[in-house]
Amino acid sequence: MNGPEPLIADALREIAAEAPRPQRMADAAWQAGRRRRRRGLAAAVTAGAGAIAAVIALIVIVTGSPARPAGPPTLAAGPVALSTPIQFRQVAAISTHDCPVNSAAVLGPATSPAGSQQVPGTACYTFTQRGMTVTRLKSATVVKAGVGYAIMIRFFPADATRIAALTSKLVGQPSPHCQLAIIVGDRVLVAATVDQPIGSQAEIPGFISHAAAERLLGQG
Amino acid sequence: MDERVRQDFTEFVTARSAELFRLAYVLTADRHAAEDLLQNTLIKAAAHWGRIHSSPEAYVRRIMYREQVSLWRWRARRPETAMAQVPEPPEPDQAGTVEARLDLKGALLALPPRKRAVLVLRYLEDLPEGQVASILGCSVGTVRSQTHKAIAQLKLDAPSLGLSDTEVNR
Repeated sequence: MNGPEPLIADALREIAAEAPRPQRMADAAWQAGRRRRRRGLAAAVTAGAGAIAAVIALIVIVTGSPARPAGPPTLAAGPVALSTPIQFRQVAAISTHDCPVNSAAVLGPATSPAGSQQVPGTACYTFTQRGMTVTRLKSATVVKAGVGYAIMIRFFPADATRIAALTSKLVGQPSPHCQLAIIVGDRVLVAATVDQPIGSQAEIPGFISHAAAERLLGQG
Repeated sequence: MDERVRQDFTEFVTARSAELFRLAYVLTADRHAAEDLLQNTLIKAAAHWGRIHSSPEAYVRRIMYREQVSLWRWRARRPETAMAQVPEPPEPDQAGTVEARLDLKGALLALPPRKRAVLVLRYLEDLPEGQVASILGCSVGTVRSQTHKAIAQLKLDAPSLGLSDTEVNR
């Protein structure tokens, strides 16, 4: 043991794991945030030189200021050309046997019978015809997610439309047809039940390290 | 346009609120304070969401840390700060180890918010001192002294942790 840091980090992680589920707050925060911005703009206009200040404020809104503070380490903040395409496919079946040689089946993580939790071991996935492949992303950021890492991705508008159409067909289907598998290379990274359609952004969990997530983005 | 930005914001919050709430909970050590912190953070983020073209996570986390530090400044002027209770102990395994861990968790939860924020950034987020200073809007020297004082406080409050003098006084 080299000092208290690992113990402190473990204790902080334990505290974090004890956090209850937060309330839904997107809508309320959005409304309050917009009111806040309007108030801020109104104050800027009156405090500034009348019409001139108003024009400047409008220009800022229209063009969008890129001023943004630097945060914790992230990468691939802009458009990303993926080193390996990401496939999103509807799961047809999951078996605990090895995948047959020369089949279209793909190896991936084993999941609990409910299909929501990953359990140790591997499983063999087969897919329906429903699916799509993405080779470019509008942005991708590696973030911490529980004990591992995840990639927050944003789709380009055309892909966002396709993923929304794909995932809306999975909602409410019997298991495992309600599951969407995310495949990179010859492996299913994760398969998760879709309970609401995915829109312009999604989170790909299941990376054991920051470096593993970076490799997918071709940065490692 | 605004509707699209709103949808983007809603999706971000839906996807990340559980993780962001965990951070708020570690920083505040209290469920209600964590909800307030997350809510205030999201309100500030929503006000500028259309201008965040990438890496919203880093942006939101930075707002949260700043918000917590400014809360700390505000609370520092008040005579008393309500302190959360130590969570229920988990199932005991090895009595000594469990006791030491509970001591440490209790000591962490009892730290003043700014010291805890520094430890969260340094050891939970694993960020270098320079970046911690940039996020909190203070100097690297302040980050060092806060870390040092926080660990010294932990050592006092959780003697069973066995932090050595050499580590604390380094």
